[in-house]
Amino acid sequence: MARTIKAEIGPKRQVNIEFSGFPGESCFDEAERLRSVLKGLGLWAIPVTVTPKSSSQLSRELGEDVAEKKKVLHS
Amino acid sequence: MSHISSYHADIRLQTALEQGKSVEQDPGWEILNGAVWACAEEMNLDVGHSIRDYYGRLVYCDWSLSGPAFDRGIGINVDRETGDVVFICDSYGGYERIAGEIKERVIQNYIALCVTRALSALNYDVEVQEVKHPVDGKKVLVKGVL
Repeated sequence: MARTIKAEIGPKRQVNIEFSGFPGESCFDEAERLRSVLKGLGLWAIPVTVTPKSSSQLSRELGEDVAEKKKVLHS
Repeated sequence: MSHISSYHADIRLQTALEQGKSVEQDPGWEILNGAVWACAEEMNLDVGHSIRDYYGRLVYCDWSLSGPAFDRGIGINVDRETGDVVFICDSYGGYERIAGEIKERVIQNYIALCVTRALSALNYDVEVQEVKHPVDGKKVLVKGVL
């Protein structure tokens, strides 16, 4: 799966960046690399929130359907 | 694992200063120039190096943006010692809104140019798309694929 970074730059200095396809914790390392390059260009990106993707979001990225589990009552 | 981060962005041109060079040699200087000219094109404004105050007095600056509906203009200065980017404008008389819009557009363009360059520097293939929203205003989407 390709590693993808999608940045959405809004009109009020807010930047949302989505990291997809990174194995393990490497997306956090890539986020730091990106911040470092941006700082060198004069852009200081101050983190506001960091949200790990949910299992369903990750499954969608991988093109897999999430099978919903049904509760079964045992009598 | 993958994640979504939200950032607040601030512009400070300190890279050249930290290397003992002048702020005009900072990579951000050229990017800021590009952001100002892009804003001028988008909002049909003129780029110059001076603005006027309420009394018509001339104030020189690194860049200025002005137009027929905003002849006083808004100025952009980069502090030669700290690298801080400062917007200056005499907005007295109802110019607060237009001055604010121009300022935010320049900053948005600067951020978009920086993110595009940074992803290219990290060897990503980059695509840029602009989306105009009637309420939220312009959004710039930058996508990098490795």
